[in-house]
Parts: sequence; C-alpha cells; structure tokens
Amino acid sequence: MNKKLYFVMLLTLAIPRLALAQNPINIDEYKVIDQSRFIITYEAMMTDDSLKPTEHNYDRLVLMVGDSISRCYSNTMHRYDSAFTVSERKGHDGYKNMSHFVVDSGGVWVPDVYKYYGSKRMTVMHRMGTVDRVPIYLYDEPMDLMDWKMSFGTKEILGYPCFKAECDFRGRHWTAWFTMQIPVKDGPWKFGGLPGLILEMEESRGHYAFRCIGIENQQKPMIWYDGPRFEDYQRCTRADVMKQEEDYHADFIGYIRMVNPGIKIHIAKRDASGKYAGSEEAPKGYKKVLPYNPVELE
Amino acid sequence: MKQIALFIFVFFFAIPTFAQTTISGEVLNEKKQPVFNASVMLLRVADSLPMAYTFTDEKGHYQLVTQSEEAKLLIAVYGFNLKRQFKEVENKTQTVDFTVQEEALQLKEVSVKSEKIWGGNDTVNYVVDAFRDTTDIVIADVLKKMPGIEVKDDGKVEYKGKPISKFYIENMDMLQGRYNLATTSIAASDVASVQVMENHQEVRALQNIQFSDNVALNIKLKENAKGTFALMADLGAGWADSLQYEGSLTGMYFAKRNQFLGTLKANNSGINLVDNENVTVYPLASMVKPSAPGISGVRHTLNRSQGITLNSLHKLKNDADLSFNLLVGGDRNRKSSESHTLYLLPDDTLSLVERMQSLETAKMLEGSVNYNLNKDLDYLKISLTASGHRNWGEGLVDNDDLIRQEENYKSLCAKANIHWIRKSRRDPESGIEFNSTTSYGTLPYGLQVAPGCFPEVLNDGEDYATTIQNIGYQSFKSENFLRFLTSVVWKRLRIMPYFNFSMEEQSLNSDALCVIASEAKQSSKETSNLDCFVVPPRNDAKREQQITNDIRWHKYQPAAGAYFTYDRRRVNVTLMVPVQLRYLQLDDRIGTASDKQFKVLSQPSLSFRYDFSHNWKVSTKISTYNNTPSLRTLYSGYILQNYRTLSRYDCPLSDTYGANGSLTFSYKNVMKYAFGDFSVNYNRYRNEVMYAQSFEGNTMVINAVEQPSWGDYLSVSLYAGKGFSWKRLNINAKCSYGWGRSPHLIQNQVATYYNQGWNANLTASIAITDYIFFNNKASWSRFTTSLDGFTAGSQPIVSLIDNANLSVVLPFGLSVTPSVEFYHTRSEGRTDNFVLLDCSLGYTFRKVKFSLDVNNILNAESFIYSYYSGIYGYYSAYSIRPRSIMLSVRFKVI
Repeated sequence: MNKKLYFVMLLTLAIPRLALAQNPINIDEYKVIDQSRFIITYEAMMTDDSLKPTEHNYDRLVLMVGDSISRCYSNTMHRYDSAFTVSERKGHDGYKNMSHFVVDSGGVWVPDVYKYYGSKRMTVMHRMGTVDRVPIYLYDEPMDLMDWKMSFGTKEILGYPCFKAECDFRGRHWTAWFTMQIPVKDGPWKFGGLPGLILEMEESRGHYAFRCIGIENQQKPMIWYDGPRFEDYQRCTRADVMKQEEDYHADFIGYIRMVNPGIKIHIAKRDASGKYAGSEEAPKGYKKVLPYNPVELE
Repeated sequence: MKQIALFIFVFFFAIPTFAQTTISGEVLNEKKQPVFNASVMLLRVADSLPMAYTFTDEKGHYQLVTQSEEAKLLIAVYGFNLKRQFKEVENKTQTVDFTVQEEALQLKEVSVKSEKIWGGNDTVNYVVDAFRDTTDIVIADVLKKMPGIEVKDDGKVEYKGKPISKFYIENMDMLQGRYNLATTSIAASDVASVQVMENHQEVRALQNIQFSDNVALNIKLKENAKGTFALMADLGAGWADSLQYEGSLTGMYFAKRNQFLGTLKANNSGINLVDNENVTVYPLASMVKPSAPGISGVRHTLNRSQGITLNSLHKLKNDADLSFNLLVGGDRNRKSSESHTLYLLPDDTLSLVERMQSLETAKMLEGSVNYNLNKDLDYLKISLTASGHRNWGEGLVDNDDLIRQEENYKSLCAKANIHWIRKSRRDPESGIEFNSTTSYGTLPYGLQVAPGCFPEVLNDGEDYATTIQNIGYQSFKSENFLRFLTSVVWKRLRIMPYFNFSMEEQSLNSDALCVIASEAKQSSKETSNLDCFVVPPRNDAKREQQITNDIRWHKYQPAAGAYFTYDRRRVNVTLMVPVQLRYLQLDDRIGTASDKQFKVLSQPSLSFRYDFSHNWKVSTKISTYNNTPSLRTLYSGYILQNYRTLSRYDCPLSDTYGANGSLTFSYKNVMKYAFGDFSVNYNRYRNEVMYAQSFEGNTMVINAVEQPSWGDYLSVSLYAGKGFSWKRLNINAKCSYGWGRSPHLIQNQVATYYNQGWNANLTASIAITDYIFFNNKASWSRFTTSLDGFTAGSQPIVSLIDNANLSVVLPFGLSVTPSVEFYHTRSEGRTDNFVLLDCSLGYTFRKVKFSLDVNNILNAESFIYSYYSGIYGYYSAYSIRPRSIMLSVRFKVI
C-alpha cells in the first residue's frame, strides 16, 4: 500500500474525521459466542476538544444482550468493517478502499466492550486511530466498577419508567437513568451493575452522553472476530492503552513515525484562502497536537 | 475538650437513634431452586422510589440495609425471565423470602429511527422505511421521494438526472432492463433499502481496469420478504365512456439462488403492455397519426391491452446466473387529435392543420436467455434474444381533403451477444477480453394511402385513387472486439491494445404502386384487397427506376488501436486511439446509385475524471466521430414516407464528421442529503451532403444534394436535489438550456435555423404531519426557433405545468388523495389553459387495499401541447380519456 499517498489524504481531512483511519477488521472470520435476546441502540455524544464544549460528535452504539455475554459496539465502526470486508471479499486491498469511508455523524466510539456475566469480567477491544497494521489492543477489567448512589428521580424514556442513579467514574461524574422493566444489569460502554437496563447516561460537564433510541427483541448471533488479524490483537492493560492514546494525541506525527518506522509523511499545504496547495514532506521535528478529552480521565 | 467529649457522647449514644433495618432472605423458583442474580430492590411505599438494591448470590440469598424511617417498605424482586413480585413489609430487621415464577421476557420494542441515507464514495443507501408512508404501495412510490432519485412517467428511474443502466434485486439482474415490472410490483413494505451505485462496473473482472460512469440500482429486501412466494392480485372495474377494467396477477419469489417474477395483465385503462425494447429495425414509412403527449399513459391511452411476462433467474453451482425472460403482449389503441404544424420556410411560413384519427393493433412475442458468470478472474456472458412484432393500423387525416391510410407490418429481430474475459491466474492484472454482438432484423412493411398523392412524380401527373407503398428492409450487423488487458503497465499507466471487426449489411426493396380504381375494393370480400386493385401497366423503364428500389449496402470496418488508462485513487484518465479501415459498397440493382468507398479513419476519444474531494467530482469527455448514412437515407427510388412526404436520396456515399465535448461537475453530500450536478455539452458536426426539402402545397419532397454544411449545438444543465429531516421534505430541481444551429436546404435555399430552449423542473414532497403528505411537480419551458436572414424569428412557445397532490390518511384505514394538474401553453398568439382534476379514495381492510379513483373530474376533452423542432413548430390537441371512475382492489392471494 502506498503509505505516502495515504498520509497526504489523512492530513487533509478535518481533525474529527481522523477516526476514519481506524484499522478495520475482516468480519467474515468469526466465531459465535452467544445469541442475543435484545438489541438496544444508543446515540453516543462525544466532545473531542474540551475547549470547544459545544462541538459534539455523534455515533450509534449497539448493545447486544445475550444470556451470558453482552457486547456494545459502534455502529459506524461495524459499517466500516463491513465495507472493508466486502472490499476484501472482492479481492481488493481493503485498506486502500477505506480512505473514503464516510462517517455520517462525524464521530466514532472506539471501544468495543464484551461483558462476560459469568466471570464478571469484561474485555475491551480498542483500535487506535492510526494507519493499518498497528495491533488492536485488548484489555480485561472487572465488570460493575461503578459505585452507584440512588437519587430520587424519575423520568420516562421511550415509554419506560426510569429511576435515577449517580456515580463518579474515572474522573467524571455521571447520572444514569435505568428501568426495572428491563431487568438487565447492563448499559452502554462499560456501564452496568444497576438493577435494570441503563437507558440514558449523562456526564456532568455535558461532554459525553448516551441516549437509548431503540429497543428490539432480536435473536442474532453474537460474534468474536478471530480472523488473520487475530494475531494482531495485543493483550495489554487499560493503562497501556491510555498511554498510547496520550502519546498519539500529544504528538500525532511522532506517533505515526514510531509505529511505522521508515514512513514518509507528507503534509498538505494550504494557501492563504485555505485551499489545498500540494503537499511537502514533513520536516523532522514536525509535530501535531490533537485535542484530547478522553471519556476516562483517570 | 468539652467539645470532644460532647462529640464522643453524641457519637456513641446517637447511633442507636438511626434506625438501621436489615432485610435478608432468599429467592427461590417454583421448584424450590435458588435464583441467582435476581434484582432485589427496596422502594419507598409513598412514591415507589428506590432506596437500595442488591442481587441474589448463587444460593439465592440477598441482604439489604436501609436507614429509612418509613413505617413500611416495599420490596421488589425481578430479573431476567422472572415475573416481577412486590411485597410490602414492616420497617424492621427481618427475613423475607420469595418464590418467583418464571416468565419469558419480551420487551416493548422501540424501533430505531433509522438514518435515512448513508453511504461511501460510490454508493448511497436509502433506508426505505424512512421515506415510506402508509399511502405508498409499491417501491416506485417511495423511490419518488428519495433525494437524488427521480421516477419518470414511463417508469424509468434516474439518479441525479441520469438514467440508471442496471437494476438489481438482491444483486441479481433478472429483468434485463424491463425493471419497471419490479418497481411497480414489489411492495414498498418488503424493501429494506435501495442502494445506488455510481461508477458501476458490472463486470467484476474489469473493475480497476476499465472505468465506468454508469449508475446502477439495487433493491435489498427485508428478511421476511425473501424465500417466500407471493401472489398479488389487482382487480378493478369502472366507467369512462364505456366499461373500464384492469386486472393483474403478479407472482414473485426472491431467494438466494432463485428469483421469479411473473405477471398476467389485462386492461383497457391506459397501460400499454407492448413495448419496443429489443426492436432493432424500424419502418422507413408510417401513417400520419396523432402523436401521444408525454404524460402518463393512463390519461391518454384509449386502449385494450393484454400481456404475460415470465422472468426467472437461477444461480448455478458455479455461481453463474441463468435467466429466462418471456413476454407476450397485445394492444389495440385508438387515438385522435387536432394538430397544427408550422413550417418556417425561407420566404414563407407554411401552416398545416390536420384532424387525425387512428386505430392501431400491435402484438408481440419476445424471449431471451442469459447466462452470466461474473467472477474476479473470469467473466462469461451469453445472451440470446428474439422478438417478433405484428402491427396493423388504419388512420384518417382531415386537412380539407380526407385521407385514408392503412399500414401493416411485422418485424422479426434476433440478437446474440457473447462477452468473455479471462484473466491470468498468476498476474490478475493481465488477461484477454472478447466481445461479440450479432443482430439480425427483418421488416416487411406496407402502406396504403388514398387518395393518391404526388401524382406528378408517381403517376405522370394523372390523378389516381390509392398509393400502395411496399418496403422490404433487412439488416444484419456483427461487431467483434478483442482486447488484451494490460500488456504494458508503467507506474499506474496501462496500455491495452485491441482489435475490432464490424460488418453491417442492409437490403431494401421497395415499390410504389398507383391504383387507378379503388372501387374494386368493395366488390369482393373473398379475395384479398390487392388482387382487386387495378394497377396501371408500368411500361416506362425510367419511371420504374424512379419509384422502385432494390439495393444492398455493405459496410466492413476492421480496426486496431489501444486504450491508455491512468488510474489513481482520485484521478482516472482513459484515452482511446483507434485506426479504422472502412469499406463501403452500395449495390443499386435498379437505379444508378451504385458506389464504393474505402477510407482510413481515426476517431480518438478522451475521458478524464478527478475527485476533488469526497463531495466534489469533475469529469470531462472529448470524442470525435464519423458517421456514414445507412441505407435508410441512401435509396435512389422514391419512397412514400407518409401521405405528405416523398423521399429519395440519390447521391454518392458521404460522411459526417463531428466532435463532442462535455464537462460535468458532480456534488454529493450524503450526510446532508444533498446532490448536485452541473454539465455542459457541446457538439459540432460537418456533413458532406444536405437533404433538400421542397414543399409543394402541403407535400414535401426530400432529395439529397452534395453540398457541405456544418452545425453545432450546446446544452447546459443543472441538477440539485436535497432532502431534509424536517417534515421529510425532499426537493429536486433541474434546469437546462439548449441552443442549436443547423443548416437546412429548403426550397433550394440554404437556411440556418437557430433553436433555443429553456426548461426548469421542480419537484417537492413533504410530510406535513404524520397523516398529511403533499407532492408537487412544476415544469416550465420556453422554445424559440428563428431562421437566419429570412424571418425575424418566430413567437416563443411557453408552457407551464404544475401537478400537485395531497394525501390525507384518515382513521379506520381510509385515505384520500385529491390531485390537480394545471397546464398552460402559449404559442403563436394562442393561449391555452386547462385543468385536470383527480381524486382517489383508499381503504385498507386487513391486508386488502381498496381504491376508488375518479379521474378527469372536470371532463377535459383534450390535452394541449406545443413545441419547436428543427424547421417546424408543432401544436397538438390530443383527445384524452373522459371523466372516469374506477374501483379497484389489491390483495395478496398467497
């Protein structure tokens, strides 16, 4: 693959669109690990830059709830993987074709969370927003990490009466709305542990939120991908991933240079009116800082 | 110190005053087995708000602690597949056990409001349910509301103003072009999404090798619509000026490896089930008959039509598709109109008023078989099509004289195509391609016109009763193309040499008979008409030569050349450089037109595409062409084209040279549901001959004359489509301008005609509420023609059309759709306005849909339209279906 070309393209994209370059998975290679009973859809709201708190990005999260496992993943990411797979199926270089993939709502919710009810642990699959052939990180954590406090409040969400609960989780204060009519101890992302499904989560500064927008009784296979890229999965800890993300945001160009030794990076030049005016090779110490406002601050 | 002591005192002694209640117990199921992971929640009795919760352990035990001072507490026990239980208990430490019943948990569903449109670089996916409302029955109804997509009155689908080239159902092409069978049969509620693929290269082996700018549409069905056979019936009866009926039975089956769509239809309500899709030969003459306006056939087609179609597709073991299509149809069509034709002549204008009536009958039978293996390295397509048409017609024209016409013809066409590609296993970039198309068509044609016209030319100046024009026309064509895929690759530049051999043969036999006495026609019914006619003996060899033809025309064209393509992610350039040898031979066995010609030609073409950004694309095409007239304009003996046109083209073989250039900017923003296209097209040509038209009274004689001439035309069009989430508003706008300059040789003078036209279209649909939907379609156009140096310019023709309909969904399955169409035409000092008013009442009972349609409520008699074309202006008042009422019912049989 022509990495030079790829990078000129990458740098001409708007920053929130960087998530486009997530490394994809071929979804043809998988094993079925459970069968879903319900599929819950959330709208996830994110804020990439805490200095611009009104600029939000959105993605759709799909929470598949099975008997022993639940999985919460990004719809955009799944669609991206599907497009990649279709492209590979046709015998093309899937990576090459992915550069033009559109993220409809501008955002991608990166972590793919598998919760194992039996062992009370969860596995998080985390893909860095970088070039291809960078490992996909996997880390384990115990489930139900939140220390919930009940607060007296009720609200109806999509026709379900909900109770209010609050927690502090890794540097952010969250308010949850859960319903006892769906007796599942689960919720979006890593959230769960309440006596009912969480239909809404709001972060106190308004940087992050999850809102349920769909509930279906659907039996669908729940899948763990184990294709050739499975070898690229790298087991690590949450701290490792946070470190990678910090490095990546602090010096995005340096990070890419680090993970792809020998890569040539070209930067798109812009003229006075902001138009694209060719590209030039990035000088040695060229640095690019990306705003960093992770959902887990600690 | 005192304070500390006080604190200690308070601390130790105050604790007991906080009542701490511990409630524990176990949760068992009906079999007395412990229930694991059940939720146990403690609620306030007053407002049922939660105070504490826990989950049972493996032994079914739970323990809850509260400091509440309420007198009573409410405990709820619930869980996955457990029936929820509440118990009210005293607020004291105690043991409370539960026995719970199991109950399958079924959630109250909330359907996700889908994203309406999503897509990538070359695909756009439309989620059908996001555009569909209760009044939509078939998928064509929903396609109309999707931004970027338009459905024409004839059922053709366009994307960004460009007709689609392929229509797939679940990625399979069963219907081979007759896709309106599907768009008018498949229920809108059965379709999950509609996928539009731009730059669609249907041949997988040519993807990344040959760039294509075709657009294809794919229908993705919902899971429950796949793999089951559905039989739909549609029956209707009503009254216009006579009994109206329509009936159709449609069977559909769409599965992974097999598809079937069959229809059985009959109606007299304006749907013509005969088409000319695969006809390759057309008559050289025709009756003068009313020409139907370009509005929905239901309005103006006064016919009786029956048809059967059978289409099926099977996936074979090697994943090739094998499809069969059969179409049998019959149609009988009655037309009448009054038309005014205005010929702009250099020194005069000629006006012709014709009141016309015609009755035509057509029958057709067509069958095709297609085999299609489409893999990455192998491609094989074999398609065989054969069709036969039989047409009869009779027509009357009243232009102060009464002219009777009869025509009778049948056409037989056959076509075979083999397209084969094989790519190297070792180097998938290289391979070989062969494409061969052979077609044959024959068309015996007969036209009778009474009274005899053109006595000067055809009958030595003596009046006569009837002209009988017989024409036999045959055409054979074979085109063979061989190409080596990528023999040379340098960086991203690819050179592909090719060879082409095409041959074409046409033959024409014609004879014009002048009948002196036609009374004989009525004398005997047993013998055929022709036997009874009295045909004058033709003893004059020169006249014989003047009105008969026996000509063969041959064209052989070997060519070799190369494609140069450059393909990068955003840039695509294709240059084609051919060298052709052309041999033409005209063998005139009666006349004197025999001729031969040998030429070396080159007609290079270049196309270029650049993707500025994700949203913007620009493409340009430049091509040169060379045309040589076929036998249709090379005959030396006169042929009566119609009662007022007699033509012959006695001149040597000639050429037309031309060049065409186009530039298109294309915009697409799927996130914002916005689509746009701007294109400019320019064409210039040079003819070596001119066709001299000379008028004598109302009749025209055409002769070809050797005189070089050139003309050009320019068109500019702008398309914009935008969808909004707000009220599901969808707007499509198209605006175009055309300008043309063409020389004509009329009345022995060369005159240059300037044609100009403006056209603007706007369609919009909106869901005002969940129960009220509004659609509007407006169109405005203005045409002018002027004749350089002779007349100052004609009056413009301006027309304005507005169609609006409102659908209101009422309770109890009722819906009402009134619609109004307003037409305004202004031409040559004449202004016509008229309104067509319709109303449709729908009622759905279970799965049966009833509809009561009242059309043309104001009982307008004719449809008026007008336009300019070349040297003439045309105005027509065409009789349409009077006020009609029709009750129809649509239901699923199986």
